[in-house]
Amino acid sequence: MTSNSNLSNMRRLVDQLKLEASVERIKVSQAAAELQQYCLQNAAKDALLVGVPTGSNPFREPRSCNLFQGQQNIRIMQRKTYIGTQKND
Amino acid sequence: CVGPIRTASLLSQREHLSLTPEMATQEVQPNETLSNLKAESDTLKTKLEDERAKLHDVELHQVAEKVDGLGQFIMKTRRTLKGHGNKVLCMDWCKDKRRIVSSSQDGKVIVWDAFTTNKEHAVTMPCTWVMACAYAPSGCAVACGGLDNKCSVYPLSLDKNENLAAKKKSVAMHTNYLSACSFTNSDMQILTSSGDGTCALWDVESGQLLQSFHGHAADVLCLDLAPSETGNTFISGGCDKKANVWDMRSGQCIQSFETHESDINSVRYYPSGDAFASGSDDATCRLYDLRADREVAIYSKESIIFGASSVDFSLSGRLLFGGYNDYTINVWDVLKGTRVSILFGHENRVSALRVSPDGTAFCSGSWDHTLRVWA
Repeated sequence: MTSNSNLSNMRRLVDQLKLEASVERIKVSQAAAELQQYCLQNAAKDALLVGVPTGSNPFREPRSCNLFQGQQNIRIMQRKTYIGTQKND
Repeated sequence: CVGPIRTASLLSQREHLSLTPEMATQEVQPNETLSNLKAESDTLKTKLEDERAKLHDVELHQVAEKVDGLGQFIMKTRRTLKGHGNKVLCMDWCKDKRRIVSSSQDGKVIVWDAFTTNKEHAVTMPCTWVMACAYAPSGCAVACGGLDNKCSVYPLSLDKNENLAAKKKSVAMHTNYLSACSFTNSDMQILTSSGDGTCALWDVESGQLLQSFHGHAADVLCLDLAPSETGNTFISGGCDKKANVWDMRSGQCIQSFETHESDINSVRYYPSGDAFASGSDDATCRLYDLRADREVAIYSKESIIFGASSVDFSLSGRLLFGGYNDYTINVWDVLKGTRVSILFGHENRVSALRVSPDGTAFCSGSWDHTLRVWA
């Protein structure tokens, strides 16, 4: 039994190698040039590569319920009120 | 193949060869003795190498010499998803670019809103080590599996109170652990890979096996589907150090690459579909071009000695992100072969890494129980 299964496995391996050997191939220089071309053509859309205008990457935005942001806003409002009162003097 | 999970599967390796389709005895031709066939296979292997070598006229980084180098990268953790009670093993993005599904060693599968970091759904699997999870293209279901040897699909309910486990559907059945799974172009079919050495395509509705893929000589650890424009193929990587390209319709292995020196933990198609990258326990990532039929780049450094567990490309294919077992993420310039950045943050192995569908961020999962979204 074992020799039969070894034989059929070997036969299958030979068939597989024949299939792989018959694959049509192109030169690395051509393949590399096309990979490079794809990269360059799509570079502008690649946010992780070139970054995107501030405000359009949702992950770079601070989250809306940010406590620190809230505190900052309060301080800004206080400062504005103070300046406002000074101006009114 | 090392590690507590995989040692059990070493016993099943020998079974791979005998569990294949045509076991009917064939007539032995006079010339077809074992030694003759062995000689023929050796000749063919040499021929294959020669054919590949003939077309190896230049290196990728040489072609890329004239391309501008990349500047400094400022990539930081923008979100940390905390909630898993043990090692995160796998994650996947939803097509809506904001939801993420992740699975962990403690059997939990969680669906997150990555913008707000809120958990939207949680399921407890009946097994530990949920090594695979995937989001359905519609966003309405997730698939997962691991040591239970199965891949199950859970429809996601809008009702937070509904018990997701009640609607679970068992789709795939392997004879060893499930290592990876992926929906095809629709919610209707799932592709799986397993420690039993095979990959398989299943119909979700009926649970029927549509096609099985035999050829790996050991556990298959990862798979990736070709981008939909390029047709019905997928790639797999295994403990036999091979990366195979498969025709989904015929079940045939159409190309095979064996240049890694250890287990291949992750494979990912280049965005154009003409190439793919792999990450391995041999501490390297490699790029294989499918039309040149050979390895065209190695991403490695002497200082990197821990295995790469997970790789993915940025949208244009220019950057390759690799999560490593030394807790770091290395960012490689795919064309020039150089490392452009190293990201610290995780406190244990990085086990999963995926770029979001629109390329604005990527997410990493780690044995430190957390996921991080970087941008």
